[in-house]
Amino acid sequence: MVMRWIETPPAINAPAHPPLDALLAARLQLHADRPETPDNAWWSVMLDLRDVSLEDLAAQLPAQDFLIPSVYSPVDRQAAQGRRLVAVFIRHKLLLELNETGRTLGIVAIKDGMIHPDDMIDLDARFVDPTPIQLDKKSVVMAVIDDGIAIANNVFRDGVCSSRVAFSWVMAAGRGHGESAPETIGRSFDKAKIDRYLTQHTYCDLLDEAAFYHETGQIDFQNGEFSPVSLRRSHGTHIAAVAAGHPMEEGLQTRPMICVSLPPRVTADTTGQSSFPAIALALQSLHHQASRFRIGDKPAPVVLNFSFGNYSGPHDGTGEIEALFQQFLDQAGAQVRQLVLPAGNGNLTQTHAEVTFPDDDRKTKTLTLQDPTDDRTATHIQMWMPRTQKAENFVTLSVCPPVGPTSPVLKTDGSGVLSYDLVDEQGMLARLSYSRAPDPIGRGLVTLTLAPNSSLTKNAPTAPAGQWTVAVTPDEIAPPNGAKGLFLPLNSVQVWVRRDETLPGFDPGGRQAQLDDRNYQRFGKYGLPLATDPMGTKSLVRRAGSLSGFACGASPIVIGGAIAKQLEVSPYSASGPITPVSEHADGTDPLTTRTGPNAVARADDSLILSGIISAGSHSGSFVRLSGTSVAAPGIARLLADELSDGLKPDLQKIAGGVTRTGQGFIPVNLHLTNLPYPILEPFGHVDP
Amino acid sequence: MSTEDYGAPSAAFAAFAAFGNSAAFAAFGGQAAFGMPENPVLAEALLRSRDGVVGNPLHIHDKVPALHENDVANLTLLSPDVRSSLWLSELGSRVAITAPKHKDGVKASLWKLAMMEEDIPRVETREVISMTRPSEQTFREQMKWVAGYADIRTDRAAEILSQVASPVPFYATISFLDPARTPFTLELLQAGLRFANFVEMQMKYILAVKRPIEYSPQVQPMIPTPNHGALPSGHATEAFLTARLLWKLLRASGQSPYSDNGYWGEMLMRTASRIAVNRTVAGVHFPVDSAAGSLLGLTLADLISSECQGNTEWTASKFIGTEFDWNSDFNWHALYDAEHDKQKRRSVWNSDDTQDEGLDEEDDVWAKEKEHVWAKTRIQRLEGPCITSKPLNWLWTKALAEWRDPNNGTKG
Repeated sequence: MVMRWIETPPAINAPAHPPLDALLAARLQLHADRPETPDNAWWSVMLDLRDVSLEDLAAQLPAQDFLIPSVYSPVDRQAAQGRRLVAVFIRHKLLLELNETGRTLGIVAIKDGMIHPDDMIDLDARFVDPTPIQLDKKSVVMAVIDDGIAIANNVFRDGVCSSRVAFSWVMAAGRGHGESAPETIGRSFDKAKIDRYLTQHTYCDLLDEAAFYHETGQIDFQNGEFSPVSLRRSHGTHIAAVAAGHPMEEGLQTRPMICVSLPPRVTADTTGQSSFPAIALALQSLHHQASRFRIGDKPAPVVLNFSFGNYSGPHDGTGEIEALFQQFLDQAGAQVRQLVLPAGNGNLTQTHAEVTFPDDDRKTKTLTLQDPTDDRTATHIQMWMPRTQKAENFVTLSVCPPVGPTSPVLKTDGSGVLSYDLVDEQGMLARLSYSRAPDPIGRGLVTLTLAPNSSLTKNAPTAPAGQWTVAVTPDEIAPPNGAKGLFLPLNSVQVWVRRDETLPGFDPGGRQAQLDDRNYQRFGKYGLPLATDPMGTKSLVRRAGSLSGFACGASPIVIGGAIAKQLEVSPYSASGPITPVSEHADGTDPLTTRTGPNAVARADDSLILSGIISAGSHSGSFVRLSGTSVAAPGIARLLADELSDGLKPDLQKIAGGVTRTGQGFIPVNLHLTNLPYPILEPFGHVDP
Repeated sequence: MSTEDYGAPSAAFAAFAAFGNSAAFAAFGGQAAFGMPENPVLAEALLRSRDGVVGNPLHIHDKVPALHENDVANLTLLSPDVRSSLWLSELGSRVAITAPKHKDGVKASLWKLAMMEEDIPRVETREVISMTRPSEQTFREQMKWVAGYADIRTDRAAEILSQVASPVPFYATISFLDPARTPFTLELLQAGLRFANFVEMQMKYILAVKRPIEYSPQVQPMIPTPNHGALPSGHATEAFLTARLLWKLLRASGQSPYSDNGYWGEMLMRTASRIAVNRTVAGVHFPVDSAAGSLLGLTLADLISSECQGNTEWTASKFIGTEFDWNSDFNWHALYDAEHDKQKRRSVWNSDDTQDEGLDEEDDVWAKEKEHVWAKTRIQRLEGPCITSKPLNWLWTKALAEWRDPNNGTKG
């Protein structure tokens, strides 16, 4: 095997007409060679539209190749003003074209999702105008997006055969026994249908839960999809129960639930790469469902918990996912909507680095990436340049694989060669490419993608495992403009390794690569993992700024994890701040102001008892789960209680509320000012 | 499961050793705890002891009362080991298995041999259960289920490994099975299991169904694949037999709360189902194996309880393998109503369709032919008196008494 670097073929490597999304172009190219991906295969994608409506866009495209999902109402389809993020289904061949020509149609960006088999798509599904639902006073609607939500668990029921779930969309469900699905993908169930299944499968007052979930399509061992609800412990059930679980016997009427179970394939892809369209669909669906609920003549408040995250994205509040969340919140009208997100668990994963070049240190700096062996999924590293009006050659980069030749030098101003491939006789082993993310991100992005280094497929190209290095040489990048308060410095290259784990029960075979630096201090003086970057560290690898790529927007409430007994922030709980972006070189007028999580909540009972106990998949069972995923819904629950009492949702009040309720939540110090860098420190102090 | 695992009732008691504080009951497995008779040192000591004390002359007592012949009272003098042979003989001698040719291959049939009370006993045969093999395509298609279920192996591993041998401890978590408290119930269950094992092994032998591992090298079961046939599943047969036999005892006890509702029955059946499904998770069975096995187990439980109580009617059933939809998973509710201890008249693909199936028909005729019916039942009745098993009735009565409160439940 002889490895060599070549210029990436022109479809991607075209400076004059770059594709809307280089990664999508690569994926489409990869799939085009596979017999199981015919030209008419449906892809779910998220489109970033400008001043064009879905209807107008559809009118310019072949109807048989472009499908507007049923979650969009006639009004949604005709809305054209400004920026709109929408999920649609596009056939393979048309998607190839749109990735090259979409700009002329008002498409600014495309984020690809998954390939959907024809028989999983209902072409005839149409938007159903949801009927209003009147709620009792003090009601708050609890919304959850997750995977594997065991909706029949008794903590989500108010009677043996009566559910508190008013709406549940199971995206991965098949069509079922001749029942027409009102959704373009999957099946949705209203309370009446859920109650009917509960009645049908209840014997001697006991629900046959396996039969129920078989009915809803949540357990289907035959279809090749993983069924998280079949496990004793499922993420969605645990989280939903923390947010909205109540004893069935209480017969609670004031916390109706609406939820979406994402397809397990989306969850399995921990990069988050394929999740955007599914999240867009889920949010749009929940927007319409949330709008149904009224208390008298006023809309009922809604709290949405979404305990997912990832390691990639611009981390400056301007990314598509942040915009998507904001879109959901902006659609609220008069309705009070709160969105709660976890901070992420990447504090100690060594997946984030910061490269700066002060005046006295303008030499090349080297990032070291350890790509573990037996990694059967691709590894991605994103290197984000500072924000500017137009591309500048901030740095140049070259990559050296564990064995084989060093890459040519890649520039970061969009001139010359945009992309290089490391190839051998089997195909592409790695790709180093540059692209510029469109406004409002407005930043250059260098991506290093490594092919899986292990494969069970004959003749599959496999990248060499081991130590990869990226040499970053300064060019036009200015010296760092000092940390402003709690913010990171301007003029830095911010690096993230995309998440690449294999979650329990799932089987993509990914293994997480991590960044190494000889100056990175892992442990404190007593041998415990060090949760904060030591003051003045010279390490490029940083904990500060490890916040989930989903959690960087200004509006969502972002929650870190805390250890209840020790009254400490959980060491893995990711920390801010987000990357500062400014139109001004002096850092004034930052676009966003997030310094980190808004608060922490119980994620671990103690150092020994990691995690907290909540509902297992099956009624009557309780299991332990750890992470900021379980902290967020604790605050969602608390917010709902606050809203129920007619209080204005306010984090200061939440903190007070935590103290008052005495329900095991931790009071947090929310006074962020006058606290030292690094950013985790503010959350390390917890009022006893 | 092989007979070696529970060839004697001792296995059930030994299973309790897992609980840690019941290890002493393993003594039922032999007489080793008494140091007899295999212990040569003890034998030598007994020899010498006798020499020292025997004396002369030898006294023969002239008033030793004789035991009553053929009297169940004598059963109390026998060890559970010895009685287990009687139970097997009583149950086994009342059935026969045939394998006549059938339009879709071979039909494995279990017959009850009823000995009618006449001067020279006359044997009348009545069908208990017949089974035919599903198509090869069914097994190929059901490999999708086997592959899918493999996803949850790590979640179920502890259960699967513990259920390779006797599953009695799992039922003991639901009903108060205990060697000191319910020895005869355990003995009855073990008798049933031993009988079921012989029946299911014959059925497996006749139907000769390959295991999942023979359809793909990627099944890679997490336990060794047994070398007997896949259908009917022995675990499903034995699990459902245990659950129903126990449930019948609980119901028959008339003891509250067992007789008040179907909770115990539902829970016993759920456990049986989980044991059966776990074999698919492990990678050694197709769902259709469990469907066939559970039907066999439920049917045998009814037959055994009928034999024990001297009844002349029982549930007969048919498993029609070629009608089983390969897209179906195993669902015991399609076969049985626990609350009323009643097998469904017919089972079709969709469990919805089994509700009240065939209730408009006489219960002693086979349900009317209908598409996709893969299992059906009828009540089988014998006309005239037949020879019943008094020893089995003794065992049943003893076991039944174990589920009644000493004070007849009158307190509180």
